[in-house]
Amino acid sequence: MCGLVGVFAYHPVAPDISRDEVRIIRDSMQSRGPDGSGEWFSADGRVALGHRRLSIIDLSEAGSQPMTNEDGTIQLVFNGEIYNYQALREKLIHRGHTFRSHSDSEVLVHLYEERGEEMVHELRGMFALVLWDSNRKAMLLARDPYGIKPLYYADDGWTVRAASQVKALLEGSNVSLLPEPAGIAGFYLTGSVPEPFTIYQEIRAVPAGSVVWVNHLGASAPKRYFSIAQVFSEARKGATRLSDFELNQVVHETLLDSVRHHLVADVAVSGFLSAGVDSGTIIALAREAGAEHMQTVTLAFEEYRSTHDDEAPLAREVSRAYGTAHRTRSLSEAEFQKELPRILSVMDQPSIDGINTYFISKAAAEIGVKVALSGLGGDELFSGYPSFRDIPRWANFSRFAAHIPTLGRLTRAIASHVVPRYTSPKLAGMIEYGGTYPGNYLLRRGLFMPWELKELLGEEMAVEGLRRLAPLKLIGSAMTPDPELPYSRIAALEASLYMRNQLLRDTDWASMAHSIEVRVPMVDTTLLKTLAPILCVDPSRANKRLLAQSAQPPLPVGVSQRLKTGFTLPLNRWLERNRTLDIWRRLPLLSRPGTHWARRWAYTSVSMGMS
Amino acid sequence: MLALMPDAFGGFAGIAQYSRDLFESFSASSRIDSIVSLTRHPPVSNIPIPVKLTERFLAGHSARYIILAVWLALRLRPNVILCGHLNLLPIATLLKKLTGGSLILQVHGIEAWRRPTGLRSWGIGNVDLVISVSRFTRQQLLLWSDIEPHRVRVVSNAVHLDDYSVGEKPGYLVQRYGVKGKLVLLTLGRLPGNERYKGQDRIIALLPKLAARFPNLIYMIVGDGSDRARLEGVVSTQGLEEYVIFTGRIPEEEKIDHYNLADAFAMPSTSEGFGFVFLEAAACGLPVLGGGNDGSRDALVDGRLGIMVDCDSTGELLEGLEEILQRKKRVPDCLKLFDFPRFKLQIEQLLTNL
Repeated sequence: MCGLVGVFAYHPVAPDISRDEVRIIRDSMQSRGPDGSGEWFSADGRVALGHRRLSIIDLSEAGSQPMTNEDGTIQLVFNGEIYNYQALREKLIHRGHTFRSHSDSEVLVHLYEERGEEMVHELRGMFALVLWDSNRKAMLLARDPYGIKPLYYADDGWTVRAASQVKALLEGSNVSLLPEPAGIAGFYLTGSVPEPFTIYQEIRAVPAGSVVWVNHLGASAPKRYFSIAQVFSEARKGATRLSDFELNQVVHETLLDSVRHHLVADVAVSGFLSAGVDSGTIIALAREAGAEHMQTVTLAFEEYRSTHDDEAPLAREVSRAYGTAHRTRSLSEAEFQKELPRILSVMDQPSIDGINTYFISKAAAEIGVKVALSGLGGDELFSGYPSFRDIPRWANFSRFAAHIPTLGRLTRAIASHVVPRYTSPKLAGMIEYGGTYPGNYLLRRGLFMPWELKELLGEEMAVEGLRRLAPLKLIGSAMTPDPELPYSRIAALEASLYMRNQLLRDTDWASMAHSIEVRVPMVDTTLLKTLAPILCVDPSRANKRLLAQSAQPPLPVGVSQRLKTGFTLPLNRWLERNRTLDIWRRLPLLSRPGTHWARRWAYTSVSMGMS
Repeated sequence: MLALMPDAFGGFAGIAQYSRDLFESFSASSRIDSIVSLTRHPPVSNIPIPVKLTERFLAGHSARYIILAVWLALRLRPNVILCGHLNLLPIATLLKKLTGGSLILQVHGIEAWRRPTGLRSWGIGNVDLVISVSRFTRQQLLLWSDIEPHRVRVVSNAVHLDDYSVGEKPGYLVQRYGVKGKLVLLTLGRLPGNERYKGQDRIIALLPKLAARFPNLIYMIVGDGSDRARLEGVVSTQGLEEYVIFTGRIPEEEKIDHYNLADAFAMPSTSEGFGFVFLEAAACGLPVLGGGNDGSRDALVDGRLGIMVDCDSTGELLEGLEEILQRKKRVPDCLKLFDFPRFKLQIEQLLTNL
């Protein structure tokens, strides 16, 4: 896990790259890679790569980056982990490649020599990479299928700059600060900035599962090589119905295989533990796969003591059941207050989430953890969200009303003035948006509704933002090609939107702030491709109970039967009673009693200087 | 290729020069067999026209222009439609829809910085390639249009270096303007009353301070337009007549002599699409100064070709002007970055990737 930067002055008039700029961008990501740094500048001054290293595999100097091939024609910086690198290495050695290190980054270099950009299909893991091919005189930007690792780029028409973080690109002082209305509107609509947009017009995310080539003409269109919707769409064709026993066995074996791959490291691998099924199952599987001396960490809050939200007691039970060295770390409001400036400074883009991951990563770093497993991804595969039940139902219910022209808009125009006084503003949009999956998804996951944005952003920014974002089209693209089955559609939407833009992105910045690598065994393409055909055919069994049955010995009863709470903070109470956090009171929209804390936090965090 | 080009061989300004360079480059490409261009300005007799280009000159009513464009498109079935101005985009889009050809839009400056009103932005989503003269114009276009960034490429103005030279101050101009022994600071550009962005006001405001430091200073404003009377009024009100010369519009053949008459060139403009005059002035060896918040930034190569200032900062501008008035004449090395062969190569590469 690292921080990377790549710069290519491709236009003939563009000035040569400033070494200082590259180093400033790179070193602004110090916490992503505290173990070392490296750089490479082409002889003509037109290409530069920079890297900050968090050593996980091959801790020696030989594993430092930028990594090069035998003749120096390929240069690479890479962030992430390739879990099947050893098998790939063997194959490449067999084909005559010489290795100087035992790192996964060197595997990438030689694999590129063999397969070019097609190499991405052979990689199992999480990655963002920038590769310079001097034969082709072009730079390759690539990102893993799910988008676990971030990669952003800015093409100003002369020079392309790419880095692991938006804020790092800005640190170099050569990227425009002009706002992107689509990114800002997207944040208020969903609670995270939907890729490929960022909150800056010039900076775009390399979309998950895509490559972008930069040549003498500049950055090309992103080329998608993986789509979650595609997997679900194809899964339907190869769908197989299994008996309970067979299903449990396949799920267990597939999960165990994924967890085993995610244990590859030259440092100890630990785990984040909540009271939920997902993290507990991952710890159980890790122990089954042979992980020794595992440490687990849980976050606790005074406010939650002796309530259903207190995860500490059950997490301790899980720890005892699987023999991990466990730490429960308490977080107080005072500590939250103290850390808030740093949180806002390391939060790469506005987000309503991630603070929990920030503190649990802090707790893990305090006891020397470098790599932690997380149960993230379980909800998306094993129907953990109410959306799996609600959206198909709502879409069916509102289908006919949605076909009556202008009825939706008319109803919303009237209802949006009345409804919010009594209940959720989302109800006002039920007819306008409720008739389709994308519309329903917007309602289900929406933080603010499109018609509320004017109050937050002003008329011009709101209208422009919605126009550029085209939210329904964006959501629709996450279920294209159409997986058709309700379970598959929701799984594709949740994994491609909420998980990618919110959970994975937040996990990245929040863990990297403490130099912790978080691994997510349930966010794995091999796992997805194996389970999608057997889960989509029988969605009633694609649930957390099925996941829990993979834990051997079984999870404590309290965990396997616990209702979902999410991984939450008592932010609502802190926002209510803390004077420094009550910026939300400025807006009548947010001052209504019963307003969800996330709406207040979204506005508060941005106003406090996130952007 | 069918081109809808307002002006190319009928004028001498930066935009017309750019269009001529485009035609010359397209004409040199093996990918283009012939070019028919519909233009509104008749060609000037002494500018050679590229071999593959046929110009159809048509002034007058727009309806006739549209009918002729459609007729030509249906008759010629062009593979490429080149739209030389955003105002012509709806027609160009119509031609694309009729013929299925690729649509290239050329954008320069202010016209592309805001969403055009009415129908004029119709079709922007159908453009296959936008050739923008500068990063700034590209950025502004991307702000209002939904076109994907990878479709908008920057091709900077080219300068034909052989056309320019560093020379002594021409005697006839020294005599005409009475500037013997004077230190001449030059601004060359139109003086449009509705835009007023070229920055002559800013320099005039600093003349008392500059004259205190350089007593033999003359500020020469070359160009004409409806804003000239206002500027002359400002000069007169401030009693600066002895330091300012308004030349009015000059013949094209005297342009290089005027550059050579000057000791430095400044145009603290805030709304340049590119600022071709910076290249011309630098090609004549003049130290140059321009703004850093518009397309001038590209012509100044981020401050490498000349001094780049924040035009709204009086202190920075004064310091910059003092600096260029002291510098010696020299053609900067980075001017070669704008030579025509590079321009031609870029256009060929864009055609290859179309």
